[in-house]
Amino acid sequence: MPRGEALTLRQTWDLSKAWYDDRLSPSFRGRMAEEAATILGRLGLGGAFWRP
Amino acid sequence: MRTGGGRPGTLTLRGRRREDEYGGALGPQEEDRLGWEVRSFVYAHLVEHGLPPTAEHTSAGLDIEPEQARAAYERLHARHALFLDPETREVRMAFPFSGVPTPFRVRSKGRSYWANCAWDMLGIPAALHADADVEAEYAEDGSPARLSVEDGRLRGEGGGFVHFPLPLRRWYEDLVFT
Repeated sequence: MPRGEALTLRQTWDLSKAWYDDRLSPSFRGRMAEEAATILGRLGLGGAFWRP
Repeated sequence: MRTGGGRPGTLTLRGRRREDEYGGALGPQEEDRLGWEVRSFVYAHLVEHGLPPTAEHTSAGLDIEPEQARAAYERLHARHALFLDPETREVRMAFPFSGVPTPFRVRSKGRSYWANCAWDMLGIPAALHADADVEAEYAEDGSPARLSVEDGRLRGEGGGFVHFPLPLRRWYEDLVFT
């Protein structure tokens, strides 16, 4: 199993809210890499591992 | 009846009611529009029933030809909007929902869902904007993990962690492993 990265459950909840907030919207059209990087960056998830 | 594009109108028959809209060979714009309509239908069905619709069910629900529903599934899969089972080509994942039972169970508003992973088990209440009870197992020893989301707050998380084995850019190499 690769080493990977670990987030606390609280961090994962914050990530889930940011990532999935609009997922059920009929107008959701996916996410470009730049937007994904912005979301992750706001949560402190930068670096090579979290790069889209 | 109405006509469209110079073609004769159609009667309201199963599989043909929407021929004016999606009949014949679809252009790119029509394919795109149908694809997103299919996506919305899949997610609405998932939220209501806890499982994704089959392509046949989507065909009936949207009154389109079965081949159109399957083709839309494939286009959505290619765009990573859905993930299809490699053999059945039915919806295996519509993130954060799983189309098959998993160790990550989420109950919300009287319904029960499966999540694809530990991230998605929290993704479901995030997507639903609803309170939820989450049941999972710790990978180390199989002991139960019980969490809840109440008024937007996570409860019961203790000292648990979520492990992401692969970097984000590799997640689509093998989504089941990821």
